[in-house]
Amino acid sequence: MAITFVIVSPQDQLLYEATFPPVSQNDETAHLREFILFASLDLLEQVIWSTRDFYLKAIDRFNDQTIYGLVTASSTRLLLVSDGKSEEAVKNFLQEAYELYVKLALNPFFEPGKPILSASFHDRIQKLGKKYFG
Amino acid sequence: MNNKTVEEKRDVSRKFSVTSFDLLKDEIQSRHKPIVLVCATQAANHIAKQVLQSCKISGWNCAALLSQLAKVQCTPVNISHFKKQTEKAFEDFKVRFVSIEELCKQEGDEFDGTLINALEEERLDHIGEQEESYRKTYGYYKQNGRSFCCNEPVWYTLYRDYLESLLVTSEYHSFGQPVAVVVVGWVGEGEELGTNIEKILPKASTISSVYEKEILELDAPQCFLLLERGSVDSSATGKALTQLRKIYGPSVGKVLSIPDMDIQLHSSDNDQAHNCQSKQSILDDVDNGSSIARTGSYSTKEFHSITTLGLDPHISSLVGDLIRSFIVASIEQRLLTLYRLVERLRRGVRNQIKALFRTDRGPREGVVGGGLHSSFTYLAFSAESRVRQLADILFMLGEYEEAIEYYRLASHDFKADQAFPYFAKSEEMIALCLIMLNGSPKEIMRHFNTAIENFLLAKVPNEATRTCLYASDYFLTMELKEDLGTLLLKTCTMICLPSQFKSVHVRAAVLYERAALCYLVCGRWRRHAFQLVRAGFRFRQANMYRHALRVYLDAYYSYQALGWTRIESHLCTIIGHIYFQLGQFMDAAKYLSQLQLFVKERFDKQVSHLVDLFNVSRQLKHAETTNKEEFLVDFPVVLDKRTFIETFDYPSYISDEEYSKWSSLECSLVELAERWDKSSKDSTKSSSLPSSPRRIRQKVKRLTMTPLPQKESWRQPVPCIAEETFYLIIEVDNPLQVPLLLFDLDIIFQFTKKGDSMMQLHTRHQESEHRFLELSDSALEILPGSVQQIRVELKPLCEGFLSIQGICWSFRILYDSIVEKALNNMPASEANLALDSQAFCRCRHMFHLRGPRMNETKEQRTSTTPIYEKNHALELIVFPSSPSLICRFVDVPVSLYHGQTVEGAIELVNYGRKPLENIFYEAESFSWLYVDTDSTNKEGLSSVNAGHLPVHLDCGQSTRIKCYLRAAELASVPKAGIPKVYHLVFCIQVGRDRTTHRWRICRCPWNVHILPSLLHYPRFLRVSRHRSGTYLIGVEIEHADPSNDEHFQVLQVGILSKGDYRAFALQKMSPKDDGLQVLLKPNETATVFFYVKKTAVRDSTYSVIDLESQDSYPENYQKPLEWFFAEEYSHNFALPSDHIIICLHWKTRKGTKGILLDNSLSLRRCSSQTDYNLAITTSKQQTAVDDNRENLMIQCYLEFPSEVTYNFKACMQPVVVPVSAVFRSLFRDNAIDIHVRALPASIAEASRGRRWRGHITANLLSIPPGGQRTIQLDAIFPCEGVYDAGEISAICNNTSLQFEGNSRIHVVSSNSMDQVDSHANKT
Repeated sequence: MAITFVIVSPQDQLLYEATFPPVSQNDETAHLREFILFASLDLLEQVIWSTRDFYLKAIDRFNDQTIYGLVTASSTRLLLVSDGKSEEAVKNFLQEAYELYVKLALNPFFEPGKPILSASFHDRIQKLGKKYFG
Repeated sequence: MNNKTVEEKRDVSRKFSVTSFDLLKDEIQSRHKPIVLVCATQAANHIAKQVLQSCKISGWNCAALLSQLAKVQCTPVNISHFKKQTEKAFEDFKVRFVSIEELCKQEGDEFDGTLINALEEERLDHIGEQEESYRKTYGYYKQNGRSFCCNEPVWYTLYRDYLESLLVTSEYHSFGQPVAVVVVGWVGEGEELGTNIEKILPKASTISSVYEKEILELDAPQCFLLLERGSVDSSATGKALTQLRKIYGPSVGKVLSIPDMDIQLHSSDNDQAHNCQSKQSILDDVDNGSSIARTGSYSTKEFHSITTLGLDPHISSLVGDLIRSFIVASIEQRLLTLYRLVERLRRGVRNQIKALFRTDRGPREGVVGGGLHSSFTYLAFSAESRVRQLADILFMLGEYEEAIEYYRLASHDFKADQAFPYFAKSEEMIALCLIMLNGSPKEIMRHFNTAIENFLLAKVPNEATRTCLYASDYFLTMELKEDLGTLLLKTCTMICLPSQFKSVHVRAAVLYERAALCYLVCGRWRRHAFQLVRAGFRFRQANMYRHALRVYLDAYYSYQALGWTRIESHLCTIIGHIYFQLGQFMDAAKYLSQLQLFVKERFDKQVSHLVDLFNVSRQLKHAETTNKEEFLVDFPVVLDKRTFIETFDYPSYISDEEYSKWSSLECSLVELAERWDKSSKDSTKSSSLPSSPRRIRQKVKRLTMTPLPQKESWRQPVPCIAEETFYLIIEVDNPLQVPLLLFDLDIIFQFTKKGDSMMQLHTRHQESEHRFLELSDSALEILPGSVQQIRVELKPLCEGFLSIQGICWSFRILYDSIVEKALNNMPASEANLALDSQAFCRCRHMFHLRGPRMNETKEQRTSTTPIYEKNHALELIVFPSSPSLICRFVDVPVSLYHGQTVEGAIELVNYGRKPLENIFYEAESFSWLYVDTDSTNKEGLSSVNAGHLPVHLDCGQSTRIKCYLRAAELASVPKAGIPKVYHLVFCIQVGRDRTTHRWRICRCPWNVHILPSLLHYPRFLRVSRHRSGTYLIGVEIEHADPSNDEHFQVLQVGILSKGDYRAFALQKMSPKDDGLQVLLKPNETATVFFYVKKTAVRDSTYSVIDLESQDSYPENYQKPLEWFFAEEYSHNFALPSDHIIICLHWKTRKGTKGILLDNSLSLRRCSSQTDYNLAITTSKQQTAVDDNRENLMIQCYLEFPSEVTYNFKACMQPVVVPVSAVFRSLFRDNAIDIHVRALPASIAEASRGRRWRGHITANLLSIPPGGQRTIQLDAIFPCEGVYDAGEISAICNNTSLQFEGNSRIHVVSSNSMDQVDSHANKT
C-alpha cells in the first residue's frame, strides 16, 4: 500500500501532499488515506501537549495503518500514514522533510498557509521518499 | 406566585438538560414501565374514538383514552411488599396502556432499513430546520471549543427514540409483558357484551407466545370497565354489570360515564375557545413523538387541558381509583407470587448450598435446549425466569437495590448455563440498575461491555445495538465521550463483522453516527466528520439514501474549503449521486459540477463525473417540461480577474483633449528619438537617452496602439455606441484532463433602456421586440489543463445602460483518442450516453468583479473587512447609434511578402440615415497604410496612417479610395505562415466643440498571411556628390532567397518622401528614357543609383516623381542637395534620414508585380570631405583596349587619379580614392551582363563601402543603346607605391573588356600637412 505524506497548516488547510510511490491510476484508496490523516489531527492535537519533541511518533491507527506526526514550531503539522514501515525510517523522513520545509519557508516569496506548489520541493520530497521507503 | 416561578424554572431546566444524568434516569425509568393490556370491544373502541376526536385526536382507541385519563390523577400509592414502606406517587410507575391492536402491530415490526425508510420520510420533512439548528450548534461549538455543552440535535433525538422503540422488545426480559388486563366494553352492547368480550380475550392471549404464557401462567388479573354515555339509562348499566359478574366473578367491574358529547360541546364552547391553543399544542406534541413511548413522560400539569374533554371530575377520579385499586393490586399480587416462588426455588441458605454441590445441571423444569450446539431457552415457569421476572418488576417499581440482587442471582445462573443472551441481558440490567443507583462508571462500563460481547457471542445484534445505545446515553451524560466513541467503534466493528446478521449496515450506521456525535461533543470534530462519512457509507449500503444524504452533508460541511480535494471530490460525487437517486437534479448538478475538485482524480473518473453531470442535465431537461426553472450549473472555470470588455479605446473613445495629449506624447517621443539620432555620436549624452530610436518607436507604438483595457477601466462604465461591436474577454481555465468543447455562449445582463427605470435580467434568447443585445456564436475547444481567452462579440442594439452580470454556455466532452479509450473502459450504457449528442451541460457563471481596496479615509484603512470600490469594467453606457458606415478592402491579396506594399482600394458605403462628413481614419500600425484621397493628383498621396478623409457620403452612397497597404511594421519580424489582422478604424466627430468625442463607426479588418520577403534592402543609403553638383543615392537590391531560382526584374525605382519639411526631388539616372532593367538571379546583388535634388526648402506638400513620366522639372529643382543639408545643419534640424522611402517596382518572370517600400533606409551625407583634404589626386583617363569588333562596340575607361599624395603616418589608415569606370555602349541593343572584377585589396566598390574579397564578380547594370554608365569605385591604397589599375576587368556579354590607356597609379607618402599642401599647390 502506498505511503502518503501531507503538510497541514494550523488551520487544517492541506498545503502539500505526496505519495510514495507516486499515485498510480489504479489507486482507489487515495481519498481514504486523506480521511484517515484528517481524522488523526484530533489525536495529534492531544499528543502535542504530552511531549516536548517535535516528532510525535505514532499518533493514531486505523485498521493496519499507522499515522505518524511531526509538528513544527509554527504549528504546521507533517503527517505520514503507512502500513508497517520501520519507525526509524519514518522518523528520519519526517525530520528531513521538516528541514526541507524550513528551507522553503525561508524563501521570501513563500506565503505561509498557501498550498506549496514548488516543483523543486516536490522533487526533493520524492527523492526523500525514495530514499527511505523506496 | 413564587412557587409557580420555581416550578416553571424546574420545568424549563428539565426540558433543556436533555443529556443530563437525571433526565437519563427518567428516560430509563419511563422505558421500563409496567404495561397494562387493554382489550376493548368494537363498540367501546368506537365510543373512545368519538371522545378523542372531539379533542381532535384521530386514530386512537380505548388505550389512548385511558392513558389520557390516567394522567389526571397523581394519587400516592402504597406498595406493601417493599422493604421500605415508602409512599410512591403514581407518576413514578407510569403505567403504560397498550391496546391489542398496537401490540399486533409491534409484533410484526422488524429492525431493518425498509421500515425505517418508510417512516423517515415523515421525520425528515423538517430536515431543513433540523440541519440549521445542527449547523448553529456545530458552528458555535467549533468556535467555543470544549466549554460548550452540545445538545443533541432534534433529528437525532427523534431518530434514536424511534430506533429504541423498535429495539426495546426482547425475549430476554419481561418488560414487555403486561401486568394486568383491562377489558373495556360498552353498556349499550346489551346482551352481546359477554359474547363480544369472549371474542376479544382469546385474541389477547394469542398475541405472542410470551404474552400468552405469561397471561395464562400468572393469571394476570382482569378488570372489566364499562363505558356509558350520558344518555344511557342506569338500568342498562346494571344489566351489563350483572352479566359480567355472572361470568367473571363479583370482584371486577367498573363503570366509566362519558357525557353526551353533543351537549357537552355545546355547553363548553367558551372553555374550548379558551383552551384550544394549548390543547392543540399538546396534541401536536403527542403526534410528533412516539405515542407509546412518550405518553407516560408528560407531566400532569400539561394534561390539565384534558379536562376539556368534558368528563366530569368524578370520572377521572374513577380511572385513578381503577389504577390504584386494580393495577397496583395486580402488581402486588404478582410480586407476592414471585417472592414465594423464588424463595422456594433459589433463595435461602439451603438452596445456595444445593446449588454449590449441583454438578449435573441436566434437564430441569422450564429449561429447554442446552448442550454444545444449542443455547438454553428458559420458559416462563422456570426458576431462572421467575428470578428475572421478579427483578424486572422490582426495576419497574424503582426498587433498584433489590432488583440488582435478583439480577446478579439470575446472571450467575445464566452464566453457569452458558446462556449468553440471557446472561448479557442480566448484565445490561445490572448496568442500568447501577446507573439508577449512581454506581461507579467503571463498573457500569464493565457490565455494558460484558453485555455487548455476550450478545454478539450469541449472535443477537439487535440486543447488542440496544445495549450500545444505552451505554452511549450513559457515557454521554457522564461526559466520558472519548471512551464511548472507542467503545462504539469497537462494537460497531464487532457487529458488522458477521455478515450473516440482518440489517448489519443499518446498525453500523446508527452506531457510527452515534460515535460521531460523541466525538463532536468532546471536541474532536475531525473524527466526528470521519465517523459521519462511515455512517453515510453504511446508510448507503442499506439503501437508506435520505439518512445517507443527511450525514454526508454534515460531513461535507466539516471538510469544505480546507484544500483536501480528494475528500471533497469523493463527497461531492457521492452526494451528487444520492441527490440524483432521490430525484433532486438541481442539487445533484450543484455537487457534480464541482469540477475543480476532481483535478486530482484519475482520467477515467473525470470522464465518468462528466458523464454523470450530463446524465443529470438530461434528466432535468425532461423535467423542465413541467418545471419552467432553467437548469444552470455554476461552472467554476472562469477567472473573474481577467474578465473585461475590449473596445478600440484609442482614439475612438477619448476626447480631443486626450487625443492631443497622446499625439503630443507621441511627437515628443519621436523628437526624442531624433535627438538621440543626432547626438548618437556624442557618447556623453547618449547614456541619458534611450538605447535606440527603434526602441522608442516601438514604445510609441505600444503606447498608442495597444487595444488592451486601460488601467483605470474599472472606474467608469465603458462608453459605446448602439449597434457597435465590442468584445467581452473571458479567461477560461479547464482544470480537468479531459478536453472540453464550449458552445452556445450566452450573456446574462441587465439592460436599462433610456427612460426605463426598471432593470431586468436578460439573456440573449428573448423575443424579438425585447432584444437588446446580440452576440456571436462560436464553439471553442479548451484543451486539458489550459487557460484560454474567449472573445465574445457583443453588439448592443439600442440606447441605454448595459451591465453584464454573467455568462452561460454549454459544454461537452471533446472526443479524441484518449477520451475514447476511457469510454471503452466504461459500461456500455454510460459510454453511449457520453457519445450521445445530447450529452452536454448548460452552465453559468456570474461575474463578481471588484475594484481596488479603498484606502482614503481612516475608517477604510483600519477596517478589518476590506472595503472595495465598485468595479464598472463590465458596464456600458450605450449612446445612440451613429451613422453607419461599412468599409471593406477591395482588391487586396490574402498573402504577400514582408515589406511588400500593394495597391488596393477602400470601399466605403454609407448605410446610415445621415450623410457622412468629417470621417477620420486610424490604422493600428504606423507604416502600413497610405491613403490616396485623390488619385488624379500625383502629389496628393498621404503617407501617414491617421488622418482625415475629405469625402462626403450621402445616404447609400459609396466611394472607393486608392490606398497602399503594407504588411509589415517597423521592427517586427514576421513569422511565415501566421496570419495577421490589421484593422482600420473610421471615426466621426460628434458635436462641434472640442470637448466632444470621436466615435468609432466602423472597423475594417484585413487578414493577411505574411511571407518572408525575397528582396532585401540594405539598411542605409550612400549619398555621394556627383560632378554636376547633385547628389547620388545608391540603393542595393539583393535577391536573398537562394531556394528560389526565379529571376527578378526591377522595373522602376522611386522615392516617397514623408514629413512636412522634408521634401525631395528625385531624378532618374540619365538618360531619362532609360528603363530600369535590373535582372536579379538568386544571391545576386544590384545597385541602383539616383540623382537627388531638393525641390523646396519648406514645402508643405509631399512630392513623388514617377520615373516613367517625362515631366521636366522647374528650375528650382536644380538646387544642389548639399545646400539643403547645409541649411538643415545650420538650423539644427535633424537629417531627414528616417523619412525617405525607397519605392521599388519589380516583377518576376511569372508576371507577379509589386511595390516594395521600406522607410528604414537612411540617407547619409558623404563623409569623404576629410579624405579629400588629406589626399590630392590627379585625374587620368584609361580606356579599355578594343580586342575585337564586339568589344569595340563598348568603350570603357577608368577615370582615376594618376598620382595620390597621402599622409599615411598622420592618418594611420589606407587612403581611399574615387575611381569611376565609364562604359559607353555603341550597340543597337542593350548591353547586359556587364561584370566588373577587381583584384583583392585593391579596389572597393563605392556604393557598398567595403572591400571585395577574391575574384568576385558583380553584375552591376545594363547599358541601353548609345548610353553611358559610370560605376563609382573606391580604390583603396594601404601604403605608398605604384598600383596597377589594370587589375580591374570588365565583362560584357560574356566577353572580357580591356580598359584603355595606362593604368598605373602612383601613391606618394607625404610626411606633413605642409608638404601635402605644397605638393597640392604644385599639382
